[in-house]
Amino acid sequence: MRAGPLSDARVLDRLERDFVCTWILHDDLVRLGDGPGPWAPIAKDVAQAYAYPVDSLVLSSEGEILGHVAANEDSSIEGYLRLLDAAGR
Amino acid sequence: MLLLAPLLTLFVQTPAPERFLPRLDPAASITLEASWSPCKRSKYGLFAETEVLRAPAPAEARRTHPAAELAPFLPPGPVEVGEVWPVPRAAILPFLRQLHPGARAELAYGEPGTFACLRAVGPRRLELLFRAHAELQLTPEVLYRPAQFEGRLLLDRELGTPLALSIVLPDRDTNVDVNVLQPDQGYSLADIGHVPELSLVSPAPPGLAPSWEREIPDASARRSLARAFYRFARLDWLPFEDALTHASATEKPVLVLVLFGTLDDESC
Repeated sequence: MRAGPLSDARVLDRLERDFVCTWILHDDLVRLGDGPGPWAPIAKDVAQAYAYPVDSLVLSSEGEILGHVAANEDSSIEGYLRLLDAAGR
Repeated sequence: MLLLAPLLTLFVQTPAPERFLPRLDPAASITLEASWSPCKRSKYGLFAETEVLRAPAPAEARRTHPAAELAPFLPPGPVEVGEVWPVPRAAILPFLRQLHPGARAELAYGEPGTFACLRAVGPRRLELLFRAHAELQLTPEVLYRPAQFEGRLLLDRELGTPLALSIVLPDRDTNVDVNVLQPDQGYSLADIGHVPELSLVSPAPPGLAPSWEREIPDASARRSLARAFYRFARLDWLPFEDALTHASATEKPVLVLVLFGTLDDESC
């Protein structure tokens, strides 16, 4: 992932221009989902959708899951660009 | 008026930032004390099941390192505060071999290398922050892959003596990946865990309250060093909750990476 899509200029340019980016440990995500915070329902949804071991998800600005790609299934740059397309940007 | 224009241009030009050339007394040395704690918690229990990982101990608890071992960390020419430069990959090895003779700078996979940054300059001292990626081959079967080593070197500007040095594995959960070859099966098992302490630290001399004239915060220096390793580190990665708040305000979609190890180091 680090040496693949996340090193590609096309992917990085689109992320920089059109997306808000975040990464989180799965354990922390589960804790957030179980907590009282306002974002707990979204954290819970993302934790449930997570595919081991590294998963990239695109959410709408309201937190709805629009697509995901698990690194074990597809770590190609084209696959990542298709994931970003899911956001309609 | 026309004649004054070039003069005015001269006055509004920003002066070039001052540059500094750290120096090192070739006769100097520094003594480092090593610490290595067992893994506190791991995902699959492999640290607890593997003998060499249960109670790791440094090869040498205390060792004096000559200036020649520090010299490769200095920049090749004058640098500004905040500037980053590459350090020869093998420079970290004499230090890490105090922890284990199997230290190596070539990684089985990942981003190898070492980069340094001039973090602060004062009237008498300057401080370098550096980041090294390296791994320890503990036995032919067991590969220990720390997330990174962060080094901090305090130098006396005038005398060129190293006043303090620390090289530490940042303490965060998770920060070490291990691969344990199963010779009978012909494959490796992997685990990731939290090792609270893996460090080489000089005993702090008295009276070292820092007095800086120019400095950048640790966080900025760390970000610059991360960017030297990873292209994606140029992006502004927000904490999860902040990202959702920001997305809601800007109506931008969110990319969420979910992992079981840190994104911007070598532990995962």
